Amino acid sequence: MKKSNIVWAIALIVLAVAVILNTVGVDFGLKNISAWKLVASGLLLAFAIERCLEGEFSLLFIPLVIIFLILEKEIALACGIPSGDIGPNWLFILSAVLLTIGVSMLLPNKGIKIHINANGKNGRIKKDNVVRDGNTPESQETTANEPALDNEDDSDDCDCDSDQDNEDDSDDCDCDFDLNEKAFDKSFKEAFKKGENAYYNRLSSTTKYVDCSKHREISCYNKLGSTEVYFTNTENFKGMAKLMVVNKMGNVEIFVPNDWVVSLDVVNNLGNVDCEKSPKANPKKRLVITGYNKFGNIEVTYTK
Amino acid sequence: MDIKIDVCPSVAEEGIHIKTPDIQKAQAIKDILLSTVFTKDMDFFIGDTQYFVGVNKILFFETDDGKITAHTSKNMYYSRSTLQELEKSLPPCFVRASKSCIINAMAVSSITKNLTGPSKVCFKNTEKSVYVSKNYYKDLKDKIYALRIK
Repeated sequence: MKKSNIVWAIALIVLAVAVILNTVGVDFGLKNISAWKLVASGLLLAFAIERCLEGEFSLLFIPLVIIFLILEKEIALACGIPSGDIGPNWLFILSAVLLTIGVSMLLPNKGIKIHINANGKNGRIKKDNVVRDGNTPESQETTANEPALDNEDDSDDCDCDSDQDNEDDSDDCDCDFDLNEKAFDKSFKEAFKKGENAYYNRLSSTTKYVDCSKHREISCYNKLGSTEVYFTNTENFKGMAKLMVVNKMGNVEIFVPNDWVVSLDVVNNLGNVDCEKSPKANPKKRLVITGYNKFGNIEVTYTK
Repeated sequence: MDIKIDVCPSVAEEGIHIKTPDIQKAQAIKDILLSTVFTKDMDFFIGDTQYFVGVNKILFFETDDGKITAHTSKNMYYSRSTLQELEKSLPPCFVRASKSCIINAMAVSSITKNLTGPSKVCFKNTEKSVYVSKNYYKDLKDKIYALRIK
């Protein structure tokens, strides 16, 4: 299980017990603290611990200061300050902000790393601050400058290996689809790294023109955005072009000359894939579209 | 509009004399003439083949993966000039649409405005399109109005 999930699970359970005990009147040192303050402080503390475990120490101070401000009166009374005011709030907040900036400069967050476990059966992609299998010779690491594919984690995924042993879990997910997705993600990642006509679009609108006199294999990754892929310089094109599309909650429109035959082999998951029949199909000119579509829309349009 | 033609065998270069009380209108007429009548061909490449294409057939120029491409309604050519060089040499109907794109305002058929992001520009007789960024949207619209509407 993921470390952060363990922290949150323990925090929620402890908080639930603490709130009940507090309401019942059991004295465990927090008798005078209201339930809301207790819950808010507990959640902030869990957040701070979780961030520390993830190696982001700079995010520790602000939650701690907020906890301090929430419980200022109680802390002051415990310290023997009857007024309940330890100091001006802005001073604590300013200190926390300065500490956050200072610590983040000293210990910069490690950034997002995408780790492809190349020898893994399903080409799992992990986003972690700590690369777990970094010593694997086939493994490849990339930094945040490269396309940040989905964060996949062992705990969240349908792990096909473990599902073979656990039949109850295997009913909850479609392993084939999962495998396909990861294979396509990995394939796109590799194409992108090699600079092989791989287009990445996230949260924006873009049009990509493919020079068919040069390129035959194109990869397109679209997430929450709109991508248009246009095949151009097609007069002398003969043979087969391949387009791999990964579309997640976005819109991909593919403009194809009207004499091309389009073969669609896209795994569609709760989305829409639309391709009409070619009006002047010439079997010598083919486009094979592979990939997967998740909650998005893929449309093939024939041009004049 | 009154059009007069003087045939002068002694004149070395052809010229057009515009008489108008409105300087903006004169500028628009000049831009249209420069964009349509006084255009020359440009040389582009596809692979090792050199092509000579009329400037008024170009819909837009854009940078793609470090290369400058020129798009006509059907083809895409490669240029060896930079966008800055092209911007200086192109007729006035070409305007910037983004840092990586120069559009022929005479070829624009529609602009779909997007309040939150770049607006989509479509061209005449083709499905090709580009996106104009918010910073350049007004310049493009003004140019289209100046050349084609007002």
